Amino acid sequence: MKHLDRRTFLQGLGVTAAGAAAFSTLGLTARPALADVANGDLKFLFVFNNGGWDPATVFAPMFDQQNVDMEPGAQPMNIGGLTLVDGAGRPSVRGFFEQHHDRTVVINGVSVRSLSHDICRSICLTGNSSGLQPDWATRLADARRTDFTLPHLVLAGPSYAGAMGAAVARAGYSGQLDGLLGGGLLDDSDLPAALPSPAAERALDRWMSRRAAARADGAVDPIEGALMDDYEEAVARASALKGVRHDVSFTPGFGLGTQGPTAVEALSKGIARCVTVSAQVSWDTHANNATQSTLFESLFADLGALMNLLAATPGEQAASLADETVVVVLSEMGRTPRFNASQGRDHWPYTSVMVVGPGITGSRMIGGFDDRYYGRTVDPASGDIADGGTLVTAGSVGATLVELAGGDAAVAMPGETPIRGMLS
Amino acid sequence: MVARLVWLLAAVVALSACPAAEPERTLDDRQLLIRASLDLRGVRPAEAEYARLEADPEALPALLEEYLADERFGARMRELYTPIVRTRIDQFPVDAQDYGLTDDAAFQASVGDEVPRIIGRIADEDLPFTEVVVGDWTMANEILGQVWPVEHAGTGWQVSRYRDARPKAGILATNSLWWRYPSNGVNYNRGRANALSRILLCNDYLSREVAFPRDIDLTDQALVDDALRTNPGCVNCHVSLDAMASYLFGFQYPANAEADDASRYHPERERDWADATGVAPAYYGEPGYTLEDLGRQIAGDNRFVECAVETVFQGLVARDAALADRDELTRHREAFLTGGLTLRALVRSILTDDAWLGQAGVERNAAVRKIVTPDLLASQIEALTGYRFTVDGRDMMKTDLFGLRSLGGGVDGYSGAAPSRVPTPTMVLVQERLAQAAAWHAATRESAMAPLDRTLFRGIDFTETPQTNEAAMVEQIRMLHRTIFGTVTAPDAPQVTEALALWSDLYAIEHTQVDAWAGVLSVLLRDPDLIFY
Repeated sequence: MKHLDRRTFLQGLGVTAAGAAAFSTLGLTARPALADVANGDLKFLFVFNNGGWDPATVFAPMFDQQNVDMEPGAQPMNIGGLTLVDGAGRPSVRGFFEQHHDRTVVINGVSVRSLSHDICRSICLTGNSSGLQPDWATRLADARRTDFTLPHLVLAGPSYAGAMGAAVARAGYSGQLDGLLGGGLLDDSDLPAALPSPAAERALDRWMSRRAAARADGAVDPIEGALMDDYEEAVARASALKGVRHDVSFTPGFGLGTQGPTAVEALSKGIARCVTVSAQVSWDTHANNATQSTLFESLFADLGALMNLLAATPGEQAASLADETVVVVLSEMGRTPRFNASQGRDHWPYTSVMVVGPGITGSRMIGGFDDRYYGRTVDPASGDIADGGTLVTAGSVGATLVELAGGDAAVAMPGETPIRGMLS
Repeated sequence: MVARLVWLLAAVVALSACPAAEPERTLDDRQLLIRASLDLRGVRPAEAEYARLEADPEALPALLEEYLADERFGARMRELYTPIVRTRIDQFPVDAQDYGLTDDAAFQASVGDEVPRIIGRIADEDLPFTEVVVGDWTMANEILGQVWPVEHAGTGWQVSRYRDARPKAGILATNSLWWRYPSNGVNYNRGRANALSRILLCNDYLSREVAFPRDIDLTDQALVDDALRTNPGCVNCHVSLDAMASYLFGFQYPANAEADDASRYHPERERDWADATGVAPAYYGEPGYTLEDLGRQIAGDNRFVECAVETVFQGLVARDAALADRDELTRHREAFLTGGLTLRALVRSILTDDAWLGQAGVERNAAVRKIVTPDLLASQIEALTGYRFTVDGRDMMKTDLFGLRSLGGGVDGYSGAAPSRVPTPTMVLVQERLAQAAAWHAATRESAMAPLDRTLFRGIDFTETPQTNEAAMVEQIRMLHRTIFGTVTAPDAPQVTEALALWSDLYAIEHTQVDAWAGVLSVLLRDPDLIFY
């Protein structure tokens, strides 16, 4: 980023500090119809399910495969071109697909190359095992870094910021961000601690803003310069966040029921381009895999409510926020096709991803599992299953999201193959 | 004296190895002194130390030797290894209630600190680093002494020994490591073996691309078991990983284990590998029987030494080691070996590395500026102000669930995400709130003290205003700069006049001198020259 452009942007953050209003001057004013929302203007909500979900419970109808144990009582379910698994006591799962199938793509057989939670989390979200690369949400947010107070808000769940940390803020496992912004976190300090009055704090923030700018201008070499630029930006964003803390509660709660509305607020008010949420439940069912059914029912009930809320919320550019927000639902790994001795399923290196929203060809199943429960290969151009084609990897899902967001995967993620066939 | 000679010799060797062109310096001696003081002691230099360096520019090596000898060195190595061992998490499988204790936060913190404390003692007492895998001792505090079969008397952390029949194998025989890395019972300790390999050998099996061979039916356990022994793609890892995992069955707990079961070592389970994988314990082909054998085998592996060198190097230069570092890493390894494998010997060598000195240029990605970790931010602010952010005794900069470690840029004990190496908005907010709380604490406390007893506000009596005694206020601001940054500022320097203007702005708002001074101090405590070093 050129220094002048960056400084102008940062000054805008600091001066207005009022969420969406801060960016009305950047041209985000009209509200066109769905078809007119450019991919580059799409927003993203990532729903991460920690512990490894079981594709065979909902996404992978492997009834004709003897190597795959299906849940007792499970039935095939075909809704609007989506071939799925139905089960007793899961009305919310069926209801979700009945209502949203035409905006939904299910990607099956996504390779995550590992069986370790830590590694799979990193691969699933970044395409890389190191944990040092930015996750998809951060990449997409960073592409519109100057347009949002907080490009990527992590309400809950894992976060890999890589070198793009200045564009990311985490709410904390217990909502610490709210406590930081308002200062209430220090109320419980063992040693008494008082904070400046709001007016004094504004004076101190102005001082720090000038100091950070001066430090960036005085950098001794390009390496230090880049670091100090990031620092100046982080200072500006931290200050701007205080300005929007009364517009959005950054206390996420433990479930999607509370995180979802917070995420919608942040998206609708133009504070964030990407939000990551994650219910604090574990999908790691090494025993009693029937728990997956309960977890999916709860997840889809929350997703249904989330979609309704998105639909009822005015968008910044489209009539509804649902018309400009892509919901990406994922989990770091799949689970073994056979039950173990505890009627659980263990870790499996292929999983599923569900994408809901604008910009994709809905009612579509991409990829699949073969008779050994490996991921099937696809023709990336069409998205159709093709022997000898491309294995769908976490990296290719990420590259697809980059293109869905208006980016160039060849530039942002060289070597990864986007599945353009799922894009409309 | 001997130590200083060693330091000077190392420096000479380093210089002689340098190319003819002098690398450009990006840090002056004062900045290097600050870097060394923070890296080796966790606090900024004392004013007397700045003065020594100003009086004698040749004093830097001696000052660094003093820092190396400081009793806080062990704590720094403890923190350096914390993101590596990752035992400081907030939720272990066993909690305080399982033992009838009430303070779960203190219990979880105690468990998480066992392994870092072992490393800290090794560093502190100049024990050979091999103690980390062959030591017959552990570290325990009164909480662990109460619930685990360990010796402990009195209060506080102290050297201890497990009283059950576990092998003597350093961290390999600690409860906390295996509570942090539990085995789910179906992976037969492979994940644990990988954790050992990652921490001690810098060989993370899980970082390798796993191309699950498509000609193997992973749904058939018998075929999978056969593939682990015969398929080259599987054997490549499993031949060493499974054998190492077989050493660990004495720490295998049944699902939903009782606290008592999980607290004890189980020699009766050591041979459960026979039914689990059928792979006998061995270390890269060399057979063994117990964890003591594994500890000796790891200690005798060249990669163990190389990994320690790489780990400490990366911790001190705040970046990953790269190919361009190879020659210097070799030099550090030799220093480590000839220094008796003490962490001080290793660190002493790294302090002569251009990468740490910030003068290696772009080619070796010199650490021109490093960003403070949450722990380092907290320790230096505590040293300056006496304030530490604790809640019910729990250090908020060392936890993720309720505290600020990951928001402040530290390792995430939940997801395992690496510490941040770039500034983030939440990091800035953590710095801000900590600085404000500490500044208010210091200003309030010192305003009630006699001037000679104060450490920060020695030049004023908290009644002055620019109208009544501007000279004293100017001098006070200069003293703050001296104490915090080690700089001597002119009375009319911009940083002084601007701070005085800030004081006036704050006084106009808050109407008390103490609050105005707290505000001025707070911006100094989160100044980029304190955050980056």
